[in-house]
Amino acid sequence: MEKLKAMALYTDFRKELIYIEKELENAVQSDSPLIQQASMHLLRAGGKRIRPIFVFLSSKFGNYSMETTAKVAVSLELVHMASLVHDDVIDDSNMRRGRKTVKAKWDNRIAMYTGDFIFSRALTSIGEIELASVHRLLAETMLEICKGEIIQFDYQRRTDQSFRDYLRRIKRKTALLLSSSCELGALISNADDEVVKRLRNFGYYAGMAFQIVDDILDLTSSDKQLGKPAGSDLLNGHLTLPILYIRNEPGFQPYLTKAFDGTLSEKERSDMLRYIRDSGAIEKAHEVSDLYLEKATAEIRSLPNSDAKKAFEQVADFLAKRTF
Amino acid sequence: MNKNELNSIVENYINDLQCALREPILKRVIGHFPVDSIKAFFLLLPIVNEEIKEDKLRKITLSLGAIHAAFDVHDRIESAQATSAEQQLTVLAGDHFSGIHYRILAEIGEFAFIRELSQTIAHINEQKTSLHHERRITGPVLLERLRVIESGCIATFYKSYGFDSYLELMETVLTFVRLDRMATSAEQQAFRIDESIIQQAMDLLLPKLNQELEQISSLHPALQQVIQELVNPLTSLS
Repeated sequence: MEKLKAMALYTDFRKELIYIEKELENAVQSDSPLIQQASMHLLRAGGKRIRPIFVFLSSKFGNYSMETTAKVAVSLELVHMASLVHDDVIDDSNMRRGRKTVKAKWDNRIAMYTGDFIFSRALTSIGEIELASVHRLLAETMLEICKGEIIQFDYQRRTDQSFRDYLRRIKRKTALLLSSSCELGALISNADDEVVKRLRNFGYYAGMAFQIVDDILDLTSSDKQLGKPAGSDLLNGHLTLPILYIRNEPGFQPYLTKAFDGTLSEKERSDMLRYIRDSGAIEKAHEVSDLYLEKATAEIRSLPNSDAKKAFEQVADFLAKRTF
Repeated sequence: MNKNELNSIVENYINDLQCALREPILKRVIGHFPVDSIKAFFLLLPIVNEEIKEDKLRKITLSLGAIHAAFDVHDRIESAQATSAEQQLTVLAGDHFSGIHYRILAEIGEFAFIRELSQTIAHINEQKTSLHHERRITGPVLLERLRVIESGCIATFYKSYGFDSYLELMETVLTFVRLDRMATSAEQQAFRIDESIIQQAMDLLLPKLNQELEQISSLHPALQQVIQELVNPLTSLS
């Protein structure tokens, strides 16, 4: 995270990022001290602010206005934040980014109301933009993300998933919102149709690479680096790409069964992670993520050279190759 | 229009809403979710009374029905334990319904209403949080919180589309209905609100309710009849 923030991108667009943070804080101001506290607790947990950055960078390809762009950027980050608060209720997670989750610090109901409050603030922010295409896209994106979660739930603890199922799942889970971040940024700045299309595709491919790497890191990072137990995806019943490669190996199957049953001991978790890391599955998953990264950079190659294009190339490269 | 025709208007609306919200996995796991027919009635009240046939308003009422459904299912989440499959999907159901509400408004381009309603939704969640969290509450505070929670979205609809004259009646009846539910069900225990506080709030609201009922003669007779039938059992008990 700190390495990401040290990138030129975060200094080149410092003004915009500071503006966004202020706007995010303003957006979650509440008459309820508890909601305000819970929302600020989330905001202060940080995050890479990838979605706002993608909105900003995309809007630089058209007629850029910081105030207008910020409304969309804030809205997308709030939608993302709201979904995280509710996800923690669904996954019964007590820790996120090394901090207690809202549901753990208060309770599930407070997490539900906080999530709903933040979501409503996202609509207040984007409601300022009177462009039907923007609202239609955001609404469809939000519904698709939710549909993805419902499908993910249906696939929970199922080992008969295909690679295609996995890719479709991460598309809805991550790639779609990044793709829409790029598209919305381009739309509000009135960029050319071809530019809108290329940025939308860039966001999609970068998002796929990003999620695959995220799924890899869940298996290769330490508990401390993750701020939650390594292997949480498996413990929550979610099959990710590296696991798809080894799920049928006799040496791995007992771990998988126990992880899904919730009967995996601490020692077995550690042995399981070692097994995965030594299996070659991580490298195979990295190859797939690299393919998506190549597709992402190919999409924006023909766009005019600019600081925004350079920043997109940097951030995509970083997101897909990060090791923490 | 007689009472049967009115009932069928409300039933058709509820069917349309359930169609708009349908999602096969949710239906399989959490089953059929109930639509609050009293809120549905008040959403339709001005449109039916003034015999308005505007499609846009119909869509807006569906959007409001969707957000009410989102509130209702999120209220079913247990404070401490939500690990069952049904509870987990109930979280997603609320998010899905909430997304449907936004999509309907986005499709018809009601940007100003999106803004207004989002502020009301924020306010409702603030009030729900306070109600859930606070240990001590007075009758007037309880009354105000329930007024916002129960009638906030419909009030925003009325104010935004020129139906202000129905506002007080709707707010008073919906708040009274909720208080009555609180007094007679497990809700009271869930919110840890003393029975005497609920009774105090009802006593405070009753004169206003009677006053509103005296003024419903401008409504269509079938609508008056439904309101009387809804309210009479409550007022006779309180």
